Amino acid sequence: MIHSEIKHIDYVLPSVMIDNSDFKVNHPDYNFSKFEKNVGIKSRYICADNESTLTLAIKAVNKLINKNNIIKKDIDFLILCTQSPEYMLPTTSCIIQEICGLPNSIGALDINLGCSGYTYALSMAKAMIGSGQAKNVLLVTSETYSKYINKKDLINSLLFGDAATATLISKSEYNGIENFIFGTDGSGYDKLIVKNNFFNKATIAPEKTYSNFNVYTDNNLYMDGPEVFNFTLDKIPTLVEEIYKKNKTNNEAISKYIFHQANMMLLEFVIRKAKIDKSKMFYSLSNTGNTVSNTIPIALKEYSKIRGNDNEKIVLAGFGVGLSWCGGIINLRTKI
Amino acid sequence: MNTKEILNSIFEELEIESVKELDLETVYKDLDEWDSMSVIILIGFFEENFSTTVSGETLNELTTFGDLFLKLKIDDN
Repeated sequence: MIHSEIKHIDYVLPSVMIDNSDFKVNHPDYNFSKFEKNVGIKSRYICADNESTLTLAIKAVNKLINKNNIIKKDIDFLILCTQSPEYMLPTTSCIIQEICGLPNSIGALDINLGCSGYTYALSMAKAMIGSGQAKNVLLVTSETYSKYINKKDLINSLLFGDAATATLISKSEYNGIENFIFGTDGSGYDKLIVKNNFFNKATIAPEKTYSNFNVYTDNNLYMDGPEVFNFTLDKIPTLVEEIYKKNKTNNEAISKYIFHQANMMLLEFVIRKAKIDKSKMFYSLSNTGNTVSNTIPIALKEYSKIRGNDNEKIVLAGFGVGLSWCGGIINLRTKI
Repeated sequence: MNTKEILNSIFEELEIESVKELDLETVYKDLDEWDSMSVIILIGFFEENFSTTVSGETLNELTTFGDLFLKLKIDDN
């Protein structure tokens, strides 16, 4: 069997850092300390006008290549996971290939998934390597949800941040990427949605509100937080059990759980329901917020900085917009 | 927990400051603190303490804590 492993990860954040206190001017009555305590987010980075999914992705790819002396001609496939592509067409990954000077011989495609996107794409990379079609897959995630969020939507502005990551997955004698489980429930497609697109985008769409502090139009991001919360509590503890079963392992063999960093409160509920040892859950959202498909690779990179060089079995789980979920096990033997 | 104790716990969980206490007649949607985060905290509270899933839709449809407790079959007996 041909194995694969994560060799390197790097990430970049856009230039505009927004602290929770920056929102106080327009929302003096909002309890920011309660938000911080429950959600665990203190700041996030969003794009300036001259930054985009493409510019962030290029920075992340160049950072990965330069820091790790990766030979560009060795890369044979590029996967970009994004829901905020640079153009309706062409595929943003094609532009990354050109600007980053990657060979013309690579395959390049975008996948449109949100918070489950990294785990889905990791499994795709494993499959491409395992089937002998690729030796080095460059997996990029880049999201700029801030461009979708209504400026008056306090809650989503507090929750989401922009970012890009780049991961190199390579053929290996070491089994660094084990089996993954997938899930989809399209009945919840409207629970997290930007309704209008290029074809039906209204110049002026009527403003709507839901609860206090959430304002949006159909041109903006809408999230039914409570339903996404219930979906997560319903699906993810079961997903964790299925991951153990599929990989013939159990919670004792797992050294860390790195899940999509949606918010701290949600992760704590998942911990309790899935009977996960609290000390094994890794959190990395305080300074970057929910960066959609970027949260898992950012958390992996942050965890790698503090971990030793021991072999470790780590459960990854992504879940959200779609509704969609995917999780599996990776093994690390070095810093990445 | 009786209903009074539940309301006191919710009062603390939601960090209510706009009213002095909650009772069965309190219209939760009228609380200044009511936002999507509060909805999630409340859903989590019932999940944690009563192993009951409350949907956001249910919370939208109902008005008072009394309505909610009735729906969830929570009473002092």
